[in-house]
Amino acid sequence: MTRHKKNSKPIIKLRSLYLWHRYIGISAALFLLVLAVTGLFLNHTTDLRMDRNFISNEQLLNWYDIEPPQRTLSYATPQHHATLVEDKLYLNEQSIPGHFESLAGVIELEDIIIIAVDKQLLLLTPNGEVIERINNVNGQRALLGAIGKISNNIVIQTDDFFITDLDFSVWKKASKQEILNIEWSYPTRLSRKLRQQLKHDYRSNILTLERVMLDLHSGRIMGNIGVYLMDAAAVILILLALSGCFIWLQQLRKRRHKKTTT
Amino acid sequence: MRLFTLLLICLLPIEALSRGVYQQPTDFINDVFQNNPPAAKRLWITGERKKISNDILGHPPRSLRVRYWGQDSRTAWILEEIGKEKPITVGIVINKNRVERVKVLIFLESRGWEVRHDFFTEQFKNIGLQSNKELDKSIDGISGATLSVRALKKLSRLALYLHSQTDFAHDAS
Repeated sequence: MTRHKKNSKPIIKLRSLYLWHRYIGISAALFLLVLAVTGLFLNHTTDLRMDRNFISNEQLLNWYDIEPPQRTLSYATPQHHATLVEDKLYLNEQSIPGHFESLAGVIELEDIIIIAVDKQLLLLTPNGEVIERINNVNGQRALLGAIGKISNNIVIQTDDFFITDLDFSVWKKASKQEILNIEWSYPTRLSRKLRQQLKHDYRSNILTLERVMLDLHSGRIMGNIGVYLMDAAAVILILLALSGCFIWLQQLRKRRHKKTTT
Repeated sequence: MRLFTLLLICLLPIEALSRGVYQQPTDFINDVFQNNPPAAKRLWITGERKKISNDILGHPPRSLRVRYWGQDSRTAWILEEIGKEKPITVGIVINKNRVERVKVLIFLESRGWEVRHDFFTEQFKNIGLQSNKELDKSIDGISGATLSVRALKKLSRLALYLHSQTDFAHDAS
């Protein structure tokens, strides 16, 4: 009897430990899955181009408080719109690569669209392909103030008015008479549809898939609560490892004890 | 006051001092052609040229047309390539289908500015292009400047290829 009593104590302990180990394991399973899956993706962000893939889901963008752009400036030719949305430039609805600070106007000559932006002239095809970037226009290092045309020539305004043709090799100062005849590019209002489209496109190019995956991994996607939840998950995983080891040691001890008694 | 200024300069991060415009592109062109540059010409990068340029750069070229200056068997090119995030502007001179000079003109990246030094750019001297559009000599890298080194190698290959597409390449033969 006494021998039986001595043996029953560790069995009860082991059973309860098993139960605890199981509950801890079940409660950690979901977190472990999230951590493992997101961890796998994060290990291959470059291969999967996750830093170049952007989220366009409105709910998720709202969840991240990504606000619609405040600054929208647009100029137009009879057929095309050049629009600066914050630091992104669009020809109609197509985004032009690069970041820009200021937009001074757009003109169209012989099927070439010329946009005056920052300190350069961007020459584009009607499809939005960049033909050439003309930097340092006529040696000017100032921001372009305005762009216009006079017959088949291009006029820009910096600290003075300069005229050139589509070859852009020779610039001359505009005369007073020429200045009076310049057809300037003026800001214009965007149609509601295009404005909404550009705003949506702008918002859809901020949040990367990599960022969302990182936030899922750390729990930050749910704010501070998410971080604490992931902390709790980490503690649970530690407990799981410890209880697992403890059970294994107990069983080992039990087996050794059995061997010695037989 | 002087000591204070000196201390302030010493406290500035070294890369902040290293970024910027080292030479204006127009000054580079004037320098190459002894203050008498020829009129700029343009080369369209379309069709087969676009495909090969895409292979060299690993992405489509930034523009469909590129400006260059040529005289006899020499051409000078101002080309741009993104190192990591920002463009590196490089002046490259090709003479008789070989690189004569490579110079970093504008560097805006926060890392990898070591590529502007002569000890690195001198390696490109007299390098040519193989039929597979690779350089015919290897270039030693700089640790911590891998992306900038890669950008300069790509631009040298591109300049050599674009030179081969001009009339000035045939003057050399």
